[in-house]
Order: sequence, then structure tokens, then C-alpha cells
Amino acid sequence: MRIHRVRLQDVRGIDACEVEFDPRGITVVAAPNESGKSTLVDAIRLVLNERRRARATAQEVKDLQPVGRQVGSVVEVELAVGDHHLVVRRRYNQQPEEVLRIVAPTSEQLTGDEAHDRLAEILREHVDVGLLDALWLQQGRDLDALALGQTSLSARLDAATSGGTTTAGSSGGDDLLSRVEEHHARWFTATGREKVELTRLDDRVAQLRVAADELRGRLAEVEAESVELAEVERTLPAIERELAERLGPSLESVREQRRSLETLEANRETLRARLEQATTALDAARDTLERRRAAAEALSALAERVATVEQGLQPADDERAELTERRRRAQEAAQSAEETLRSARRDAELAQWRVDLLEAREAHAGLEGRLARARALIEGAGQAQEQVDASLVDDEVLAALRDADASVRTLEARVDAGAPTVRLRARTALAGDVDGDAFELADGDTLERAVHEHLRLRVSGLDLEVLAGDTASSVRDQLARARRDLADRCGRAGVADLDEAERQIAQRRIHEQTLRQRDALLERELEGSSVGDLAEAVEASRARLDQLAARRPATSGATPAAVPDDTPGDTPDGSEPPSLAEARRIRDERAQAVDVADGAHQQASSELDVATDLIDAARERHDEERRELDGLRQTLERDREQLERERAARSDDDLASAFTEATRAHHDASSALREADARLVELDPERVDLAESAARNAYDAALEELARLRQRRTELTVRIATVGAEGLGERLTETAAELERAELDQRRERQRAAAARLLRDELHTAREEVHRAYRAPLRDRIVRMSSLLLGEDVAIELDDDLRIATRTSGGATLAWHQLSAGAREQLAILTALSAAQLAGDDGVPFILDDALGYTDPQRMATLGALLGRTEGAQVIVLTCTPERFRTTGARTVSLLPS
Amino acid sequence: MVRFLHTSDWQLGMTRHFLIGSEAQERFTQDRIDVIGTLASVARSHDCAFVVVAGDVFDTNQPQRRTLERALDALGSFDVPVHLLPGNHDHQGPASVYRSDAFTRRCPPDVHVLGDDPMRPLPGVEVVGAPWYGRRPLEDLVTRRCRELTPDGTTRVVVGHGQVDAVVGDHDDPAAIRLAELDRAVVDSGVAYVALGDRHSALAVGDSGRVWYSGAPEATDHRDGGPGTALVVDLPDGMLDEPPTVDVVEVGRWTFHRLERSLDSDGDVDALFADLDAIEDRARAVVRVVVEGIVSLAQAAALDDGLTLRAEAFGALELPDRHRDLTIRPTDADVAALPLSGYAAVARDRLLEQASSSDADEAAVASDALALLTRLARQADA
Repeated sequence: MRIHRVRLQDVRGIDACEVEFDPRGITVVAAPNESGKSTLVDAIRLVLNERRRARATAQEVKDLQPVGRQVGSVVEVELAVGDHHLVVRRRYNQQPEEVLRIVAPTSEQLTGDEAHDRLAEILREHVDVGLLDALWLQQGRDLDALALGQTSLSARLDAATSGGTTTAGSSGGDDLLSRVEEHHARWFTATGREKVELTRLDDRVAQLRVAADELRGRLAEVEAESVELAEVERTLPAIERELAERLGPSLESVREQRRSLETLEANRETLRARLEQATTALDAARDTLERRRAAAEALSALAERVATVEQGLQPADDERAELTERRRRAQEAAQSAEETLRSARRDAELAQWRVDLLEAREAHAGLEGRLARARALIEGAGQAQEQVDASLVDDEVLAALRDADASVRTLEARVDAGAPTVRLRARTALAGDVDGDAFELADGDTLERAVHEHLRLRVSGLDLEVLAGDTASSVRDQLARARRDLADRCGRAGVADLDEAERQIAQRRIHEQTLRQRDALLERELEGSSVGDLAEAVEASRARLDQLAARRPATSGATPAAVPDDTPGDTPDGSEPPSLAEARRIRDERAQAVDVADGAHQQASSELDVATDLIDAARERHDEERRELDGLRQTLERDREQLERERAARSDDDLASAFTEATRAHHDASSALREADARLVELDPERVDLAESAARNAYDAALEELARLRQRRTELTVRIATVGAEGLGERLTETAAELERAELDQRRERQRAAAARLLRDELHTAREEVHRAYRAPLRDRIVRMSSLLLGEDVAIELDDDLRIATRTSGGATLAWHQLSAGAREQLAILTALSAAQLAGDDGVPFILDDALGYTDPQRMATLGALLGRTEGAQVIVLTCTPERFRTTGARTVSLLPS
Repeated sequence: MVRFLHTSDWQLGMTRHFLIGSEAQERFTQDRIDVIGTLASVARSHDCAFVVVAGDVFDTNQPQRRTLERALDALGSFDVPVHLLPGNHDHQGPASVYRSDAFTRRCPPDVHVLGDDPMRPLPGVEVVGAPWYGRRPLEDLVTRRCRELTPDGTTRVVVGHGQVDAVVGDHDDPAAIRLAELDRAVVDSGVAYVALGDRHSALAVGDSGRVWYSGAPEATDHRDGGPGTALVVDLPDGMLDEPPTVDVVEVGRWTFHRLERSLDSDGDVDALFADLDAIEDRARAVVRVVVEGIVSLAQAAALDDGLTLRAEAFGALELPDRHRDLTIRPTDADVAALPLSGYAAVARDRLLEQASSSDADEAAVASDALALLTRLARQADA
């Protein structure tokens, strides 16, 4: 938006004036101090605020009127908005009118509301009305205040939004948002929690609900009790009737039965006692009778037993005699067996002695033989040992000889091998000698000789001597030494040569073999001991033999000469002593005879023991029987006397008739009791018991129920009366009505609160969005302008209220309050300029009031320079000292009061 | 000729929620006691021989003591015998108000509670009650009572209470009075008149002309309309073929009004206000305003303001629940009336959008918020 021209007529102190502005540069409006400047600005604002005509208050409009004159004030503004070029003219106070003339893009003229609406529409389309309003508010503020940043763009936006007065002095204190906040605060805390004004309505509803529920509950109780009371009152008479008419008589009838039953039972008890007595009497009579019979029977049994015992005594005496005889015979047999045994033992001893003697003799002869053989062997070995000891050649000497001989042969071979050979082939038959050995050769024969030291060949006409070399000579020396050595050794060994030594050594071997065989035989005879030991053993054996022979036992008298007897070897009768084997056989036979005799003897002894025991037992038994018989006889006598005494007192017949009588009496009593029992069974006492118990229970239960119901009736009556006096029903009606009312109030109040909250939230949300939307573009624009106008690259940050928070320049970041006054001023102007550019498609005019003047020439120069470089922006400077802006190259117009 | 007064449904001790918190409640309560005095005057001026109250003298069997005392005082103003019938609200069960000491001790001598035995206020005339003994009888008490009677020349007035099946259209309620059977029984037993209670407005039931609801003496609900009535009944002497003459007398002062309006224009709102202003004795008028339609923010605000302004004058003015009944559709004029800029305009536009939402609750809150915004913005201008 650009303002091209403003015309005022009869506005305050101005009669008529018309100002044209540079639409794309600075226009300096010169006006006297405190006079026309604000008039001009107010007039423009009033006209362009037409879209808020309703808010152009009477006072504002009235203020336009010149003092003391009743004339209409005319304001005409020519401006470009987007592609529209238009002229707005308004007349105020007298004959008010409004005319909108659109010059471009299409010509159009409107008046009144249409004019107003059209202008508003065009403005809304191209201009950020909110921002424009905010800027209008700022217009005319002096730069100092601007630079101090006291009024943020944000606050001005709020004020513009809320419809706060557009006069320069308005603050945001009573703006729409704070009124909304105030309203919201009736129900909500700053943090959005519900206040007690809201919650107490909830509490009241809740309380009333509880109260109503309680009342309802209590009424339901009363109702239930009332129903119960009605039931009780209906039931009571019925129970009373039942008791009197049915249960009472029924109980009485059963009791009558019970009484006759009791009489019958008493009678029966008497009969039962009588029967008991009869039974006792009967038992006593039976006992007496039976005891009498038993006594008689026992007496005769006793007499029989005495007789039996007397008869049994004679056989016992016979048995004793027989047993005594038997013992005597056993005694004799035992003595005889003992004699036999003794004789057998003596014979056995003799036979054993003989065996021992013969065995000792045999051992002695063996020892003597071995001693004789050993001595002969020792003697025979002496010759062979001598021959072995005489021979000088042993294995060692032989080995040395063999070595020496081998050396000689080896050296001989070497002499042969190293000697030159002389070969003589006869062309004709010839004869000669070699070293004296004659030879004869036929034609073609060949003679060969080895030359050991030298050789001399002589044939006819030729005497040839061949000499061997030095080497052969040395070997021959060695050979000679070896031969001497061999000869020495043979001499020392006492042999002529090696062959003889070999023969001697073979002979020696034979002798040594003989000696070894003899040693083995001797070892066998000596059995590890020496010959001396063996000789001693022979002596000891002889001594034992003599001892044994001296100890000959006596012969048995019982079996004289039953077997070949006598001492072996030296029998006096000269009979041939028995052989050892025979002696052993005799000994074994006699040992068997001893065993047989011993068995017979033992058998006889035990027979004797048995016979003795039998006699003792028989004697004891016999004595016992005698004693028993004596006792029996005494008892028999005593019992017989007793029975006779009793019979004298009461005869057997007496007892029998008493028993018969008792039996009859018992029978009678028993029959009587049976009859009584049968009558009782007929009456059935159990049935009577049950019937009585049932009737009694029914009666008691009914009585109890009656008492309970009467009690309950009293309780219920009292309770109902008590509760009835509380007026619960009406209180419930009241409470329910109050609840309904409280719920309605709650609903209404909550609706109001919800509306307040929604309004507040929406305002806050929108406000934040708008501010957020401005922040980045505004910041960018300020930075760009800063670069454009001041040539410096700065970065700035805006705070939530769209104020400059920090400026970063040349790497240093400073907070707003840290900046110099000049820097703040520049930034404030840049901010305002930036906002003016943002406010419309093509920006809106930036109006600066220089009312108070800038006394600092440096700052003035800077400001002038700054404004001089706002390329394309429309800037209007109102000042009373226009000369200060000459450096800007601005158009200067004068606004002078008429 | 026998003349008597037939009334019912005094329902003493009733509280109305729409009166809570205002002095109108006390006025209402007092008027409902005073109307008993009016009934006594009517009985006197019409030379009635006795009075029958056909049930629900008390709103509950457990009234507050003060209610009972005032009722007994009022009953003392009758010059003729008064016969009270226990109805469903004050049935003659063990917990009945009529059995309480508070009632029996102070009951005026010529006031009688109808039980099983007939009363004889005049020679040759019997008042036969069909009292309720519990909250839910399982039979038609009135018809049964009629059937128990035999024509013997006595003029009989049967007093009963309950709904008539043909009137309410309920044929399943076992306690409902079977009109067809009642009509037959009335003829068979030679009953001269059946005085019914329970319904709060006067009504002749059936074609016999002998069965009537008297209506309550003071209206208590919008269904009742009002004003309250009582019946002066003339029974011709010994002329059973001739129906009684029944005179409906208005005795009540309270009226109940239900104004249902469709609001579509400023004119509709003004017409509603005119109707409200036309109601007489507004201090005893209970008005329920029920509106529907689509209105602008300005109209909604005008409606709110107008109703709020008038509310105090009425016994009760039950305001419409705007959230439920009205759709607010902001108009251009509404927008113009909120000339806001900047973010306030953004917020306003959003609220306008929400106010047109299909979600009724959201729309309602949003239109409330808009109304609030309008008001606060206007305050700013002022």
C-alpha cells in the first residue's frame, strides 16, 4: 500500500491542505511542533480504519472538528493498494458521507456502506490488517521509546487485535485477551485446573445424590418393614386360632393315652418282680437236689477208686524183682568185657614195638651204605685231579698259542704276497737249480719262484741272482719275531707245538668231566651234609637201635604166642625174625582187636546203667502208690460220714418234692408276665411317645412363633412410627428436586466454563500461530535490510514477543540491552521498516515522527543515511526541523496551519 | 337431593425442582395449603353436605411434621364432614401417615379416613371408600368395592383412586380401574357416583356420567395445565336413572405453560417474548420454554438476554437448553458484529467453523464461546 496524497479540509486547526507523498521514497513533512503532524496521521488512520467504522468513536470523530466551528471535516486520501488505485473521501460531523472512487484497474465509484465494504475488502486482500493496525499504533511514537524496545511488536499486535484504542498511548492492559483471561479465571486457575466455583457444583450434585440415595434406601426399609408388619398382623390371629382349636386339644388327647400306658407299665413291673423271685426259688431247690445227688455219686466213685488202687499194688513188686536180676547180669558182662579189652591192648603194644624196632634197623643199614659209598667216591676222584693239575696247558695258554701261530701264518702269507716272482719258460729241455734246489724242465714247461730275499737260479750257462726289495725284508723280520715268540710260548707250555697243546687240552677236558660226575654222585649220597655228619648220624642211629631193643614190652597173658613173637635179629630161640611188612600187618590186626573189645566193654557198661535206672524208678513209683492209697481211704471215710449226716437232716425225697413245687410256681409267674407284655404291645408306647412329642413340638413352636410375631409387631410398629415422624418421603422429594436443580445449574455452569475455556484456548493458539508466522520472515527481513542499508552482516534472534533478543555481528553476540543506544535505534528502525514491508503485498508506509527531535548530529546523520537507502519503501517523516533530513535527498512538503 | 364436594390429589409436601432456590417455592407451598381453605369456602357457599377427597391428600406417607400440621390446620376449616381416601401416595399400610400419632392425635373430629366400613354422613347416604393398603394393589379396588354392594335404597358414593385403563391406555396394570367392568358394577350395585382421584385435571370417565375425576385443586405440572379444580356434585333423590349434576369449579391459582416455538427469525424471538409477557399472574405461572430452529449468534444472544430479563417475574421460567434444542449458525452480520483483526480474527473464524460442526456438542460450545467473544469485544468498545 502506498499513500499518494492526502487532503484535509476543516480538520482541527487546518482549514485546507493537500500533501503529496513520494510513493517510493522518503517524504519529509514539515509542520510546526505539536500541531499538524498528529492531525495528519490521525486523519489518515481514521479513513483507512473504515473497515472498523463501528469503532471510530464519537470522540475520535468529534476531535476532527475545528474549534468553535460547526463545519464538516473532510479527509481525502489517495492511495494504491495492489493493482488498485483509489481515492477515499469522508466527511465527518456535518453531513457525513463516504465516497470511494476507484481509478484503476477499472473505474468505479461507491458510496456509503458499499464504499466501506469495498474498501475493507480491497485492504483485506492486499494488506495484513493486523500488522497494519499494529504499525498504526506505533506510528508517531518517538524514536527513543522505539529504541528502548518498550513496546514490542507483539504487544502492539495484541492491542490491535483486541481493538484497543488506536491512539498512541494505548496499552495492552485492557485488551481482549486479558478480558478473556479474566473471564476464564472465574472457573479455572492459571494452570488450567478447575476452580472451586466449578467443582463445588459437582460436589453439591454428588452430595445430593448421596443424600437422595440414602433417603431412598431408608424409605425402602420402611416400606419393607411396613409390608412385613402387614404380614405379621395378618398372621397373628391365625396362629392364635390354630393354638386354641387344634394344637391344644390334640396335645391333651395324646396325654390321656400316655397316662393309661403308665398304669399298665407299673403293673407289669410288679409281675416281673414276682417272676424274678420264683426263678430264684426254683434255682435254689434245683441246686440243693443236685448237690445231694452229686455227693452220693462221688462217694461211690471214691470207693471204686480205692479198690482199683489196692489191686494195682501186687504187679509192682514182681517188676522190681525182675529188674534186680537184670542188673546183676549186666554187671557180670561188664567185668568180662573189661578183661578182654586189657589183654588186647597189651598185644597191640608189643606188635607196635616190633614194627618200630624193624624200621629203626632198616634206617640204620641205609645210613651205613651211604657212608661207605661216599668214602669210595672221594677216594676215586684223587687221580683225575692229579692229572688235571699236572697239565700246563689250559684254555688261556692254548688261546695265546693259537694267536701266536696265527701271527706267524699271517706274516708268512704277507712275505709270499710281497715277493717278486721269477717265471722261467723252457724253450728247450733244460735243468738247473734254484737256491740249490735242482729242477728239470721240458720244452714249454714253466717254473715259477717267489723271491723273498734273494733267489739264485742256475741253469746251464746262466747264474741268475734275484734280490728282493727293502719292504719285503721288514716283513721277514716280523715273521722271524713271530716264529720266535711261538717257539717261546710252546716251550713255556711244555709242548713242542700247537698240535701238542691241542691234544693236551682235549685230555684235560676228559679228566675234568670225570671229576664233575664224581662230585654229583657224592652230593647225592651226602644229601647236603658232609661225610663227617653222615658218620655221626650212623653212630646216633646205632645208639637208638640199642635203646629200642632194650625196651621190649611184656607179652599178654590172655593171648600167649598167638602171633610170631620175639625180638628180631637176636631171638633167643633163633627163629627167623618176621619181616617188617609182616610185623606191620600183625600190629594193624591187634589194633583192630582192641577197638572191638573196647566197643563190647562200652555196651556192657551202658546196659548196666539202664538196669540200675529202671530199678530206681520202679521203687519210687511203688512208694507213691502206697501213699495215695492211704489218702484215698481217709477221704472215703470222711465223705461217707458227711452224707449220712445230711440225709439224717433232710431226706432225698424231701428235696425232690420241694423242687417240683418251685417249678410250678415259676411257671405261673412267667405266664402272668407274658400276658401283661402282650397288653403293652397292643398299646404301642413308642407310637404314644412319638405322637406326644409331635403334638408338644407343634404346640411349642406355635407358641414361640406367636411370641416372636407379637414382639416383631411391637418392634415394627415402634420403628415405623419413629421413622414416620422424620418425614423421609417429603425430604426425599425435596432432595430429589434440589438434585435436579443442582444438576441443571452444574450443566449450565459447565457450559459457560467450557465456552470460556474454548475461547481462551483458541485465542492463545491463534496468537501463538500468528507470532510464529511473523517471526522468521521478520527476522530475515531485518537481516536483509541490515545488510542492504548498513552494509554489515548481522544475525539476530527474535523472542516470543517478536522483540530483538540478541544481535550477532562480527562473531560477537550481544543481548538487546547490551547494545549501544545507537545500535538499538538502528535496529528498531530496521524492525519497524521490516514490519512495514511485511504488512502488505508491496509493504505499507513507514511513518516516523520526529517530534522531539534528534539533537545528536551524529545519530541524525546516521538516521538520515539509513532512511536514504530504503530503496522502494515509502517513508514519511514528520518533523518540525526538515533541514535535518536534507542529506536524504527526500521530497519535503510543508504542512502549515491556515 | 344430596350435594357434596369432590376433590383429590392435594399432594401436600410436594417440592418442585423448578422452584428450588426461589421464593416461589414457599408461595407455591402456601397456596397449596390455602387452596384447602378455598375448598372449604366452596363447600360452604355451595351448601355441600360433605366432602370427599379421593386419594393422595399427602404426597408421601412420610411427610414432614410441618406439612402435616399445616394440613391438619387447613382441614379444620371445613364446616362439614370430610372423608379422606388413602391413595397410592398415602396408602393405608402399616406405615401410613393416617396411622401415625401425629395425625390421629390432631385430626379434627369431623375428618374421617375411609377404611373398609362405609361412612354415613347423612341418613340414607353412604360414602364407601376403596382405600389403598399398599403401593401396588393387584386388582381393581374400585370395581371390587362396587361389586360388594347391593342396591337397598341407600344412596352410595364410592370413593376410589387410580388410573382408568381406557383413559391412560394401559390395560396391563393389574391395579388399573377397568372402565367397562366399573360401569357394569355401578349399574348392578346401584352406585350413585364414583369419585375418582389420581388424575390432576377434571374429567368425566365413560358415558354413565357417574364416574368423575375431580382434578387437583392446584396444578403441579405442565401436564396439569391449570388452574386447579374441584367438583360440586348433586345427586338427585332416589332417582337412580337420573345422572348426577356435576359442576366443575376452578379453585387453583397456579398455571403451567409450555411454550414451544420454532425460532427462525428475529420476529419469532419477539413473538415468544410477547407470548411470555401476555401471561397473567406471572408470580404463579410456571413456564417452560422449548425452542427449536436455526438462529444467528445475535438472535441467540437476544433470546438469552430476553429470557434472563424476564425470568425473575415468573413463578418459574424454565429456560431452553440451547445446546439441545437450538442450532446456532453465525451469519455475516454476526461476523460483522465482531470486527476483529489479527489473531483474534483467526480465533473467531475457527470458532465460527466449529459452531457449524456436525458434532452438536462441539458446535454448542463453540457458539457459546462466540457469544462470549461478542460480549467481551463489545465491552471493550464500551
